[in-house]
Amino acid sequence: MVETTMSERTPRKILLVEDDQTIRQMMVRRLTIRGFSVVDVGSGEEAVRATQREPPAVVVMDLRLPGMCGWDAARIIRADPSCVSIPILALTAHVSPEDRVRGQEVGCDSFFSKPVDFEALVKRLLELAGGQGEP
Amino acid sequence: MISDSWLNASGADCSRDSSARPAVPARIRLERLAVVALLLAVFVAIYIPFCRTTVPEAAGILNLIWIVPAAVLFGFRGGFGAALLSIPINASLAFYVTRSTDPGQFRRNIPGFLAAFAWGIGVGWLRDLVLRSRFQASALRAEQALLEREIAQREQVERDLRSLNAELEQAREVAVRALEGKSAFLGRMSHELRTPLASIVGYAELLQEESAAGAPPRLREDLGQILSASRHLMGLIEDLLDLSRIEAHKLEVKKEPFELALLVEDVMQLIRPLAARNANELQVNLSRAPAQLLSDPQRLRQILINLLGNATKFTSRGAITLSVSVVHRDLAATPLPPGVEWIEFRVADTGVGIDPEEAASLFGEFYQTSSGRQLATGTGLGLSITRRLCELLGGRLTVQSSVGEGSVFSAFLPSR
Repeated sequence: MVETTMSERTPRKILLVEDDQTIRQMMVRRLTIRGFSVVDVGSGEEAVRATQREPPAVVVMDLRLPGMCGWDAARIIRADPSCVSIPILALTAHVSPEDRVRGQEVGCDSFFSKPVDFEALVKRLLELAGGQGEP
Repeated sequence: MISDSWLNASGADCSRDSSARPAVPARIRLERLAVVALLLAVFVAIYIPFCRTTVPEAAGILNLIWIVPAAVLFGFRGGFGAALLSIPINASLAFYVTRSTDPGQFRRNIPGFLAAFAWGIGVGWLRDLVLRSRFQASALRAEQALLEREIAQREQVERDLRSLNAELEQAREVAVRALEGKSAFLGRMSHELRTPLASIVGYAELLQEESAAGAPPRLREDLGQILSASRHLMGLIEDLLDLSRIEAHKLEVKKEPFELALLVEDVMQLIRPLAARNANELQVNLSRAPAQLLSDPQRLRQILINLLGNATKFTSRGAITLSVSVVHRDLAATPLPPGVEWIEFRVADTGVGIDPEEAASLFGEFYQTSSGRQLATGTGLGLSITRRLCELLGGRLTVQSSVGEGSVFSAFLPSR
């Protein structure tokens, strides 16, 4: 992780990309309780725009999205020089080994298969977002 | 009475190939003999009056009226026999006429007699020749007809087989499509079910978190019930997804080398807390196991987790042992290519055991033993999936158990 770009971003700020509204609301509430500040969007296009407008510390993204899929969104985010170091955490229905390879190609740092083990997710987010410990 | 078959029936009189031809019925032979005898009587009766006519030289030729019919009816042997028989008959007749009326008759009779003699033999020979060739021709025709019938039959059989094959192929395609459709539907359904279920689990967890302090204990308990039921449902859906993938052949099997000890340790880390929950002792024996395997580590992991997870569920205050060893014998009906060995992954527990009747259906989908139903966890799909995974890796899964004495599950997998 590049420290100079880290400093430009708000620590513990997370961009959540998830198309299912109920799950999104639930995730936002749960992550907020854990001390993250969450921006949530429902599509890949929005995710790209939101990242460029205001780079988060971590992107948590469902790979199955309507319209632009998570893979493409991740690739575009990574192609932007100012966003190249933002960790991307991918949520998929089933993590196949092929997915893992593909994820590494586009720069996904972690995989979580759905249903997400929330505690494991929080632990990984704390590692990636840099803000150590509970607030 | 003299029908065509009466005349043409042939048999023992044609010596060489009589065995191939149908024999003339005895009744017809007797009738023919009677005709010849009658004609012989006629000949004898008219011989002496004929000698008194103006052409007594021709008396010898009268032999024709009985020798030729004998030749026609009995063939060469009949003609020849009649000719031979005619020698004493002619001699005695001619002698009688010579002595009583005409002394020159004996000599005059000779040319005619010789002619009749020759005709008898010739006609008999000709008759045999004609009959034989006619028989051969008809035999040939019969054989040809037989062959043609056989060819037609074979062609019919071939057509039948071909159409049956086409039907089978069609039926197979329909079945495969149906299975694929079912699997695709199942996979799709599982996905669709998971999304709302994820919300349920998530909100229940959220509620639990928010109500951590100061909430009535009943609320926490009830939330716990929602969560455990939801997780059970989630597990069921996961298993269904796995099953549908296996059925749709979408589950790709890898073949890569990996360290067995590392994989087993990885599995043990997951299983240890489960074993501890029921105060079980967990043992691993790799002393007779190969260091490396060439297989699909992910699937093997899943197999071991399933088997060990089951063992921890059905055993309490007992022992669970995983032993991996090379099998130095051939498993029945499953030969391996040279250089490949069977590796047995043996999961033995000292748990409740399985009734033999239940063991028979143990690997079926949604089947749960009575003790499994009592636990109210699990989906009845785990062993079915495990067995299919074993088969996918080219091996098989067996079970040995009796009630109260624990169970032994063995996954036999090829070493590469």
